[in-house]
Amino acid sequence: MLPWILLASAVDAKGGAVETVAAEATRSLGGSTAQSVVVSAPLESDKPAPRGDDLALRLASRVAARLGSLARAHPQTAPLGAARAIAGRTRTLVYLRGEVARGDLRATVDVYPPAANVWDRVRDPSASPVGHASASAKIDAGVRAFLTPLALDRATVGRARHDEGDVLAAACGDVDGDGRDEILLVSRARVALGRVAGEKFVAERALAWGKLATVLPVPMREPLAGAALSRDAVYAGTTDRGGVELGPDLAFRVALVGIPVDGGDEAVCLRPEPAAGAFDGAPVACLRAAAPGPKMAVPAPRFDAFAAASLPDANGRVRGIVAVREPSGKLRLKVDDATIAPEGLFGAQLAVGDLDQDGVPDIVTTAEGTDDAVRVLGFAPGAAQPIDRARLPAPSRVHALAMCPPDDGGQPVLVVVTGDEVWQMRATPVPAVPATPGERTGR
Amino acid sequence: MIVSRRALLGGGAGVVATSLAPRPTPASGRAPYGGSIRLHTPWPLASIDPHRIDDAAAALFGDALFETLYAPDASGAVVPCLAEGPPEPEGKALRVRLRTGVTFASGAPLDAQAAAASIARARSRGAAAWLSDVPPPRVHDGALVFPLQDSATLLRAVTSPLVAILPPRYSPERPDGTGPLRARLDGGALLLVRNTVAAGGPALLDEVDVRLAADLSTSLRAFESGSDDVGWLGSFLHDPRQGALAFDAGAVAWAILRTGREAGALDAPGMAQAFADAVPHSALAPLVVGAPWSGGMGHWTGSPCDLFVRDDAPWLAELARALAVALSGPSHEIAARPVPPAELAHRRSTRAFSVMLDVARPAGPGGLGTLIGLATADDAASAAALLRSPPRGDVAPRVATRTMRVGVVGEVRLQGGRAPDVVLPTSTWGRGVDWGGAFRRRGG
Repeated sequence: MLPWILLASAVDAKGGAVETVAAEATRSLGGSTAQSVVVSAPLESDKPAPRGDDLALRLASRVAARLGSLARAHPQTAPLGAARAIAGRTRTLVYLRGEVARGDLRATVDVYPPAANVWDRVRDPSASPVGHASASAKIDAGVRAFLTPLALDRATVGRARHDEGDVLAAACGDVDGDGRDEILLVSRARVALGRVAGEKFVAERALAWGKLATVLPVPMREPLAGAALSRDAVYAGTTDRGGVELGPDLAFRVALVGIPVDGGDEAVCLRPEPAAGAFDGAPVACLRAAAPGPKMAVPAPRFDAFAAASLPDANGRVRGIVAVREPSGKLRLKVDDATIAPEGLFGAQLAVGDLDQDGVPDIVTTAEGTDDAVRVLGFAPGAAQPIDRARLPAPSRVHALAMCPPDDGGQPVLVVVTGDEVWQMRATPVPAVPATPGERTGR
Repeated sequence: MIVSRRALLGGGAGVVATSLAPRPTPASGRAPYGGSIRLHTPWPLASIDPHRIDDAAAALFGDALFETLYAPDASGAVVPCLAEGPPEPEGKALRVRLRTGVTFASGAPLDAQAAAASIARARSRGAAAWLSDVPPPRVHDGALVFPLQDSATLLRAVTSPLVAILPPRYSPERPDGTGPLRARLDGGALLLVRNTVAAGGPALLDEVDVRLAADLSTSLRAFESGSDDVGWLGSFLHDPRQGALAFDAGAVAWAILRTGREAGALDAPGMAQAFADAVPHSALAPLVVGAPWSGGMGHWTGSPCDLFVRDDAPWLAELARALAVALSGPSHEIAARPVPPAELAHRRSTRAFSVMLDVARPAGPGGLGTLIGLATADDAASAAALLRSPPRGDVAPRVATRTMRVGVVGEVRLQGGRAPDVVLPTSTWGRGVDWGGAFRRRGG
């Protein structure tokens, strides 16, 4: 039975971008908004948004839901003047301005008290709001459903050279909060944080492992490594030296209990077993002071590749995906509580994401054998096994994979480190579908 | 039974001529862990002492058991191995810090005292010449402090398998090291089992089971029948094994001819090599002794004598027999005479022999290691002098010995046939097999 369908009804407490923005905006709103009407302005977007207003209305409905049972969302978008009229004399107006820009879903919310009567609105048409809040989140499948779809089979690949030698692990994210993603490359020799500039990976900060940690008493004969980035923290580790947490400037902060990897919502640590050439057991908290015990369940007890993500579907329902590769080359997946064992053997690199933001996870792995390639596996309705959705031949060995948050174009980016190159793979927006009557487009 | 030269040559010729890639891992996978390899070797396995210049077992399997302070990496660059980092200048000395937490396979801790004692042990044995320009270190603050300033000299000296770091009170009969495998010697068999506390990482294989071959056909027969995974010097005795592949990890040592005082006037520098060169390559080729050399057609001109050789090394004994036949002439017969190792050692130390067939290992990496290894086998004091003033450029082994009382007869090579799923990477030393990195492919 297809686990994907089984799990479709599982609603996670966490939400997608729409839910996150609605929650963040209302949390900081405060004031008396319980008996309010939420009216949304037409959506603004820097990308074609065939169903932009539908997205604005969805956002309004989620904001209203967060404000309480007495709040309601107006079923149409409206400019501020009209919105004030809609609110009338009895209801507080919560006016929502939604925007899709630079890969983010943004919302600003202004609260206007009830106007006594129409003459008040005539006398003071630009009345100041009594409350204001804003929030943003990266575009995900729940937002993409209202925008131009992405086609994975027409992915573009940008190639850049790097000088980091044999890279063991990579991570991607905005660590310094400047709105642009950095790429972390971890080799046996050093940790390098940088960006792709033109056709070159430029290491803006780098630090040799010798300055970070001593060699472990028992390393692994073939090293394994991990990397993760979060806002304001860099995590890197190899089975030669162990794991470390660094600042955005790569200043050493603390040694970790294992090899850090992206656990989907936070960095978690894997425990290497040198005699097995693999990681052993479920991920644990990285800090020694943290509570012991597994942070999540894994679909195999011993593995040499790991990837995890929390991915929302088109309805904003979030699922936890954990993928591991057993040392035998078999892939094991865990989607919420269901486990899947894809047939065949796979390479030793793994990443999990939603490259085309269709709400169905993509498992990115590599080929087992002499000819390396990046394979993107997905789920098709009715299929018990993942299917190959894309295959990208690699002339050199693929050393590492990493998923980036959506870029300025709103597209997630897959980072592939192969040979002395860093590839950035993006799904391509499909040509805009002509708007049907009644559909309004964004800017 | 002794395999015929024709049969052995056939075995050797039956191997596809391919050499090994340094790290033949799958394109995007990892080398699999687990599995074992079984082989027979015509070399004694009763003891292993990496500090001995004539220890063939150490030359063949030392890489599996022992580590050094520094070692070449896959690119050939010298990198810290048991040392924590590069030598640090400290006044007029160099400080070498050791990695913390490292233990030998037995559980004994590796610390600066143990390392200093091990270096002293190496110096008292085969590494005397190789270490002659590096004064003994003192132990200070948990580190080795060498009273010299030239880090290149220090790195050259301690980056040698002949200066492998051993635990205190090391026993060759009970080998103990920090390498990827640990050894169990049992009745002439050497069982190499994954060392779970290996300083460079535990081996990929669970174990390597090495048995003593009583003769040269044993290994080929066992490989041909499929009971062994590696064929020594060839891949079959009668019929090729299906799918068998070749491996060639190169020369790990040399079979050397010594002249002794009982040779009279022939016991002169250069004579041993002259006699070794006089042997046609074709006479020894079935024993896989390396590339052909020029010369041949010469004979022993001294009195009839014995060619002493240790009696526990079937390959060496067979080589001695072939050598004796090739060098003998009318009234100048040479007879191979196998003797116990202890007697051989006594005769070597007293030079009470006319000719002797022995083994010499390289003292270190590269051409200098070759030169000093052979010179050490001849005379440690002369070797030390040679180290101080080495000839320019690399000198071929057979040329290097023209001023010595030893001559290179042939190479002790680690090559032969392997099962199709067995992968034997070459050691980063450039000689021998990286046993820790050896593995069996999936589905083999």
